[in-house]
Amino acid sequence: MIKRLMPSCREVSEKVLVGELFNAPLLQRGLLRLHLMLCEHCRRFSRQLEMISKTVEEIARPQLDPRVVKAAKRRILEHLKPK
Amino acid sequence: MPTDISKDDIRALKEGRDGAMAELVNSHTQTLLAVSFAMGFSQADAEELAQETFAAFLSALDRFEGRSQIKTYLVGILYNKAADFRRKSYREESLDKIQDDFEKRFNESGLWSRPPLGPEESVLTGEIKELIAQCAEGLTLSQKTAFFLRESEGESSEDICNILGVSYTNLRVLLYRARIKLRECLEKKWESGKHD
Ligand SMILES: [Zn+2]
Repeated sequence: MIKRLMPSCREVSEKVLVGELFNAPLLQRGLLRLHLMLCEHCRRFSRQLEMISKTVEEIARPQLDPRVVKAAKRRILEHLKPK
Repeated sequence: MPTDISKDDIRALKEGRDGAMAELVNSHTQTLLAVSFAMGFSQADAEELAQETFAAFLSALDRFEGRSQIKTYLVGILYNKAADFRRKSYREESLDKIQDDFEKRFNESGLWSRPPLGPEESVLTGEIKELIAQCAEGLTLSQKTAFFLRESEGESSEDICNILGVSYTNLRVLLYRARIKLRECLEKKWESGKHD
């Protein structure tokens, strides 16, 4: 019974990839978690994807030096002003 | 930070009124530089892209009908400029290959036939972060831009689709592929580092 309901590794990893692991319907979510508890491969896959998401979030928010921005604004305006 | 622009502002820009251009540049340079950095451009290139974006916007003010937010509109211009800039060296990978390679990792019953390798710890160490950052350099311009807009600007999927000129389905596929690619890359780098 459980075996038939249990999502396959491929289904689990696809859920992980589209970020739908935690907003699946309740029963499905329970089965996904159970699968992750039992399957070290999917667990590794899911942990790696979590680490990737976290790192991408950081990279996607570059730290800009305010001085760099200020100097760029000045030069850009200088260029844009009609001569 | 002002994100929208009124008809009056557009008129002021058209008439070349004092301060109108300065306000435009002051309000939006930071975002344009940030997206360029997130795309992987150097400081000098980022500034040039931002400048060209403003110039293109100002030379075709009529085309901006105030339908979208000005920020979204400007990032859209910048994205197209960046794509031109990169076109010479830019090659979109065969789209199906990533998917194919991923599917090959499973057997017919959906079990791993080639299980994932790479880091198995649950904490994100500096080393892993560094490897992922290196891998992210290999993402396409559209993937990098999509991540930036979502993570940094909190843009809606609708706006991201408009900027990239793709459908919602395309956007999902694009991000899905980016994640597969990053993980494959992380695995490769991690395993080759271990056996050096
Ligand atoms: Zn599994």
